[in-house]
Amino acid sequence: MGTALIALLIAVPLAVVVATLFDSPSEAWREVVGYGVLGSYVKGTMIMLLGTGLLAAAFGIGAAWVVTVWEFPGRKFFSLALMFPMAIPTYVAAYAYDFAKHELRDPMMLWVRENFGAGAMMDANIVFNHALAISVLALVLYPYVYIAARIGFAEISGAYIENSRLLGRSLWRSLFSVGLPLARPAIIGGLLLVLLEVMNEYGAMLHYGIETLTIGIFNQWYDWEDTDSAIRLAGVAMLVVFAIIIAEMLMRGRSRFHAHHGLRRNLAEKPKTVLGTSMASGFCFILFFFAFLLPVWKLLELALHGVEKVEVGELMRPVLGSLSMALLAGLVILVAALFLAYAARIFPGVTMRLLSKMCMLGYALPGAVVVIAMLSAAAFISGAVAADSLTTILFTATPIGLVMAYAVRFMTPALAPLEAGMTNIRRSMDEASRILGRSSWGSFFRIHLPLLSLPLLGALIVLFVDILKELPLTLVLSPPNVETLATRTFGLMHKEERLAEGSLPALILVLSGCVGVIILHRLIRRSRQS
Amino acid sequence: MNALFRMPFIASLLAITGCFLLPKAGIANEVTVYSHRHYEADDALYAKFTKQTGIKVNIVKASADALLERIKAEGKNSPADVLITADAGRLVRARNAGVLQPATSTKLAAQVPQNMRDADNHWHAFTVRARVLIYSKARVKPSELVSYEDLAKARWKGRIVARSSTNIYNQSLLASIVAEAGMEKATVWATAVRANMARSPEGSDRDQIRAVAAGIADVAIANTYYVGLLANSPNPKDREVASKIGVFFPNQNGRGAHINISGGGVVKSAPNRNNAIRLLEFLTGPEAQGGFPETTYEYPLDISGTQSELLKSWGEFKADKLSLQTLGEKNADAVKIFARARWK
Repeated sequence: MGTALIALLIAVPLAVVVATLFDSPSEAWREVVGYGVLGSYVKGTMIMLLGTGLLAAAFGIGAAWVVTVWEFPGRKFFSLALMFPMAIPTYVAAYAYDFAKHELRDPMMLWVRENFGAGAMMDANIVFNHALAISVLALVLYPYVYIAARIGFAEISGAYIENSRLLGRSLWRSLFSVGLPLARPAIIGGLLLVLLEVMNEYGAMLHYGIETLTIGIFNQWYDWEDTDSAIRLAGVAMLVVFAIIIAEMLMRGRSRFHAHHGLRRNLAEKPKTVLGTSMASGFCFILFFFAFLLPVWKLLELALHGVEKVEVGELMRPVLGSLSMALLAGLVILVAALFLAYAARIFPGVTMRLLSKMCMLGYALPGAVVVIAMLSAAAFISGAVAADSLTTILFTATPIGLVMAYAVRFMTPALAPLEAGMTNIRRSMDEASRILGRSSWGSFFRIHLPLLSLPLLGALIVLFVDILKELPLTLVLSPPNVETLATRTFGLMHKEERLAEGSLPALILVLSGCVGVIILHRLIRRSRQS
Repeated sequence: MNALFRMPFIASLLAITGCFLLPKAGIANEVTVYSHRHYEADDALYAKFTKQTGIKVNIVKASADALLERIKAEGKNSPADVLITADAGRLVRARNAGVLQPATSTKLAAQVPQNMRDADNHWHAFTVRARVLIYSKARVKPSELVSYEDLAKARWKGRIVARSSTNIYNQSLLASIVAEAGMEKATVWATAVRANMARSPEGSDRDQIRAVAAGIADVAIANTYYVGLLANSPNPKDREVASKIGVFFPNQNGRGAHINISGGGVVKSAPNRNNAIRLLEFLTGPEAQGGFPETTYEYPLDISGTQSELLKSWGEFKADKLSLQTLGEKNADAVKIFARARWK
């Protein structure tokens, strides 16, 4: 029953979106479709998905392979450090790389114009912007693929790669014929996350002038003041997301590759030549440099040179805002996820599993879609129930609406590790507890909860970092006088162009992300040892 | 963590954060401002207001559109007292959406000229800005520049930059052209100017000015106060940019340069109506008006009365007398035309 309620929370906004699609389209929508605007949104989205996906996959798989299979100086450091770029929010990376526009691009454009004319410069500019956006996003998002690939190589294909090597195949051939195919499901899972992040991206796309569906949704909503066409665009975005998810499921196929518990294979071996060693270290260093060191250095540079004095009091406000929102929402979501995970355990069956999957849907939807859907749903409900503005006051003037939106969006990072943790607890424990006279919920608090402490902590960390970085939802739904580090950074950097002042909250965000990554890394290591 | 301790710990965390975030109802003497203006100088101004009147100012900063949607969604129970935007069009939109209320006082009536406020006092302006042509001093002589309409001519091919059509300043400029020449001619104009651009619209007004300084283009369309912000920026690169460009007021032989305003209105369901009016009186009063040209480089309501060196260096100009109301009314047309012209 409770599960159904939570699933309802997510289903209602989606239902509103679907329902609007059945109404006759507004005039603005006809303008959007008729004048090819929809086409350019879809084209822009596809280019970004394809480009970022390919590049992130290359970086992630490459890095994971090098770190898994070769022993070289700095290997231990890089195996952790290559995850750090995940701590940099995408819109922060976009601003950190701003210098590339003025120092790299403009001279290039002038050169193009001199040699090829103004028309060529116009095209070259578009190509450069897209290339820069794809590169920046790929550099910051590849860790999703990296982590997935490492799990794949180490846990799944480890034994097979070893065998392949023993049989005399070179490392390269082992990678392509054995390592990759077996790690494929994991890698594709990581790639899925990258693509979903690209769909969700707002700040970076805005900055580089790339037209995507998410940008279009905000344009239609704000510029045209047309909720109808905004919702339709959200529908198109949802279709793309579903297509990606289905593609992922198909590509994963029915493969169920089992992790090899027991001896963790250390496949690493020293390359035969000094050239080999330096190439391995070099590759890792270059990736780490461009993905993490350079953007952080640029932010530090902005902060050190630009900020006259640090207004600690002013800075504390978004810090407190971020902390309280992340804690509040994080705890609410965790409690809900615990409830869902345990309920699924007590009442096994198809309906429960379906409902669980529904709750995870929110993660796949871009933040813009969630915002629109929830606001439309709220307006609809208050209209239907004639509660006038009661629902909306609770919704926008207090953090309740924002927490609900976070819950819709971030249920998956909470639920997935908890569900996994649950399945590791043997059913015999449940039965033993019942025999001893405890109720279901008594068992939960005494047995399951303590056993879940590691996944719980892991889920809390991931949730925390995700909520801290979140931008589009928070921009629209945050209550008065509440600012988060994300909105403060975006406001200062995008609206006011005060890049120096904006670098301070940005650096705090990156720092907290790094701390999260380190803790998560330790947790995963500890869970493997147990 | 021990399960026994977890519950109380969680409960107290929730309680603390809850206290932080729940709306503080019924605290005496405050005014809640939903503002699209985003200047540090404004915060200083509000602080002065609080010191003088004892009224606390709560600010929600977001884009005007987001603020409007929010007030509409919040309805009768919205905590907003004042809506401040950086454009007349958005104020007209807010008025038409029914979220503002008539509010005036003898001070407001005296301090704000009639063409700088809504006919029924739903909103009042407090600063003015002109949307002008920024040109490269090295490659363009001011005598070559004439009007906005002239930018459609072939000799400007590949030499213009402007920001995206999603920006309200561009929309209001186009609205004024629609009011002058009608939708068809305005569409032809927008399409021609877009074709004359050196690159696809990207970035802010300041980025357009930087592009002119860098040689990417020769002319940019931008608001006057950005020149002030660049000229007085702590960043030496910005100051260098400002030194390379000049300010030209178009259409001086015709209707005059396009102006827009930043202003505010009292929200319909404002819980602190009187405080809201006092804030507007303060913003349109002599202290604030004297400060704007020095802090945000905007023109005061009395354009030619300013004593600021920088603003005076740009010269006197004839401003378009078009009613600001029209900017709002023609906004939807402007958005449509931009989409058809594929301005982006």
